[in-house]
Amino acid sequence: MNFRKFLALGSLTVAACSSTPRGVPLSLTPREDRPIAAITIGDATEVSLLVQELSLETIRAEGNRLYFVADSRVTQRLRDLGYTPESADILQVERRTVRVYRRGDEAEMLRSGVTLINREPDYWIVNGPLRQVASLRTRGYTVTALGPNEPLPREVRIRLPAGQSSLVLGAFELDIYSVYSAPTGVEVTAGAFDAQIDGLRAAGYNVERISTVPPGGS
Amino acid sequence: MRIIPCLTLAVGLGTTQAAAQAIDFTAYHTAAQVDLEINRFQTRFPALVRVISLGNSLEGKAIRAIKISDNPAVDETGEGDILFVALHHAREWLSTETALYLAEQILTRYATDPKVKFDVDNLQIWIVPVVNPDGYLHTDVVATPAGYRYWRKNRRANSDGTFGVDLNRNWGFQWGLIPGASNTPSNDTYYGTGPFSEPETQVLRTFIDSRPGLKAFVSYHTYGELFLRPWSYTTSDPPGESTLLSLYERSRDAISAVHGHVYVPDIWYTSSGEATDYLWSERRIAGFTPELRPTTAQGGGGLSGFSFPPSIIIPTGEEQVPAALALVHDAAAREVWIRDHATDTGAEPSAVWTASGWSTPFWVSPDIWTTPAELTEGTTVTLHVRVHNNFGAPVSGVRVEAYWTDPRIALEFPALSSTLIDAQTVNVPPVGKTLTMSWTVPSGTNSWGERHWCVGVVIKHQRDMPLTTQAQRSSNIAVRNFTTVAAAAAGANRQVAATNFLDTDAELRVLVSPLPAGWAVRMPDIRELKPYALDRRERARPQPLDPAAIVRKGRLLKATGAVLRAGESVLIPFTVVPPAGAPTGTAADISLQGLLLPLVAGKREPQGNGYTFHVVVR
Repeated sequence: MNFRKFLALGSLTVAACSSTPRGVPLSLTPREDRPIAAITIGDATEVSLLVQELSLETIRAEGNRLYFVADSRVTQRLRDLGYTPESADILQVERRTVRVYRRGDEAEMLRSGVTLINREPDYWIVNGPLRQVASLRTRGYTVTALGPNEPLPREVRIRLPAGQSSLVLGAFELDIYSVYSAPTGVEVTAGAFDAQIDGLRAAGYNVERISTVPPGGS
Repeated sequence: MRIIPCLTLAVGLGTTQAAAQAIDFTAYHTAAQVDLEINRFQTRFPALVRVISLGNSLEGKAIRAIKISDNPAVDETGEGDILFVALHHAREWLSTETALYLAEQILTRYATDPKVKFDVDNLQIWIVPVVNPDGYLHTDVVATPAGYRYWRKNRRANSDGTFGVDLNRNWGFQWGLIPGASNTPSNDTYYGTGPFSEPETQVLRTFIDSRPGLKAFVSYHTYGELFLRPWSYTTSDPPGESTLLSLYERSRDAISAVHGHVYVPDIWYTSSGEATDYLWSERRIAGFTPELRPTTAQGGGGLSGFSFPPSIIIPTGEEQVPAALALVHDAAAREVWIRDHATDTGAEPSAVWTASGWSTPFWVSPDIWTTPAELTEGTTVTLHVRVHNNFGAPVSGVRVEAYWTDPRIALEFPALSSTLIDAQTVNVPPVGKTLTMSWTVPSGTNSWGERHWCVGVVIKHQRDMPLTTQAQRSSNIAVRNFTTVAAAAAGANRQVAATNFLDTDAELRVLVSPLPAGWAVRMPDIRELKPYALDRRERARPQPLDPAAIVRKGRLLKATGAVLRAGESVLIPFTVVPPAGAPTGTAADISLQGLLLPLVAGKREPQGNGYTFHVVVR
């Protein structure tokens, strides 16, 4: 059984268990069933030119790699332009963000290679390539789709020393709501997932959860 | 609080009275109510408003513009355009209210305020209150019970199972740069699968591309009481920073004069793929991002700042309108101006690129000259600048800035590489005024070994500011190039320089203006010349580029000229050949023209200018 068939079977199995109270069934069948390929790109503008000039269907751009739907016409034209298209594995490229119901400890769950986003009382929310998410299932975890508006960022307050710029937080990819400079220091409020909070704390920042349900939030 | 009884009230008052009723700004409007109010603008002001759908959102909702003009049914391409947009981010409801408030003020003042009437009669004003209609509906948890009041992005179903792309990280300039955005789809600053991957940003780009006369852009956001200008992706200054700074300072003062709130230019975080950066990078159109009320201190910080009580709507609108109307007037008015060429009337643009080159050399302003006319290096000369007045009455407080720099094909003023000669603040009577400045002509050669310099003049006035750095697109900017010898000798080897001053890769095309009979110019194929980085002061290069990428972009777009990376220059050698047997003293003016076409998707807006040499047979 090849892996794609295995995944499809897995998704059927989950669909059959849709009466479970534990979240919405999740298909791990790739959304894109055509062959995909990757090329090296110089910058983002090049991506938009490829889309405009070659009608390239992009899957994802990450760093200097662009993943796209590969058909013979497109790949030949890319070769003519000096690119070197390489076939790519959709199961490594396409990712899912999912609920993983708690069982055992977190470190054990993360051994599959997925990336933690949030910790909820009954489940973790993680992200990873289809192959890694599928491996969670084979290891016995219950994996379901996200609920509405998940994952929900936590509202946090980060305290920086007086005079320090909030620009230092850029690498954490937060959703910064506000910055307030007080004589005692700089207060940044932001939306952050649990993994980002972990990262901030590991880097030595003082992070405080403000609320779990923001005002007016559902 | 949101307005619930609106429709009931309309019925109760009767159709005619309700149709004429001003917008109620005591509560936030639902998405449906915003649509209703947009429609009512056209009903209430049929002679001034057309509601136009610019395209559809991802879920098929119309992204609608309120067009305000004295002839709204006609596309008056001879007039300029200005664009105000709001609600890139779904939870920022106050931005939509502010856009509606601005439209209401312009339309109700038209009948009584001569300045507003002048602007509406001479400009096309476009207001898009909701860029992100899908996200907006999602934040209305009454209409959308499964929604979320603090949703930020659009409603793209990402391939990983999460939703949403941050539309103000999805524009095409510096897209994908981290820090400044996120490649994680679940993050609120997720930049999407590619630049302009989202229908909402595509719709705006297509509209912007369709408006060659677009002069300024404002994108309302909340919150923090900030007034931001490019760049957003970096803390480095952009080319033309002093122009943007002047516009910021005037906006800040106009806002604070109303209720005393001072909007500061602080950058809390960098934003890549942002709207105003795109406009400034690719079109040199001034764009601003007001982050509206409240301040962090008022709002308590956090999410509550996005859902501040609706009592904030009117004072926010009141303080934003003067700043917005000042930009509108900049775009509409020619109160003080300077000629780009002898037949320049102040119309913008003063020259356009055609198949045979620039329609008129615009780098030879007759309003900039020196005494003596022939320059000698190292000597101090008098620089004369003529400023015209189109206001019909004296205009006081006109700031005139003159700069010199190395000449280039493709030049802007002010550039970070230009040097201020002098700046004076003067009164300009209705007949105009000639200023004099002292200029010490540079000694030695310029960066490419020539005695050839360019002077640029920028005119600023609180009621008429430049909104770009491009001479041909602004009546407030003019350029004149000078040689420090009376004339170049025919037959001698010479060179001109071209710099890609855009912050994006570009194609350079060079051509020679029509020559007098018998004269010729010999020049190599510019594609064979080796470009080099000359002046990196002008730009930040935050990410290393694949050197092959520029070539691939050129091939994708079938470039016929040389391809230059951002900041690169190229020296172009040439020889002027006089007619055979021409006697000594035979002379001709030889102009070389340049054009930069950015290597970007969408419309490729040409930018550039030229050199003129007076060549004499010796």
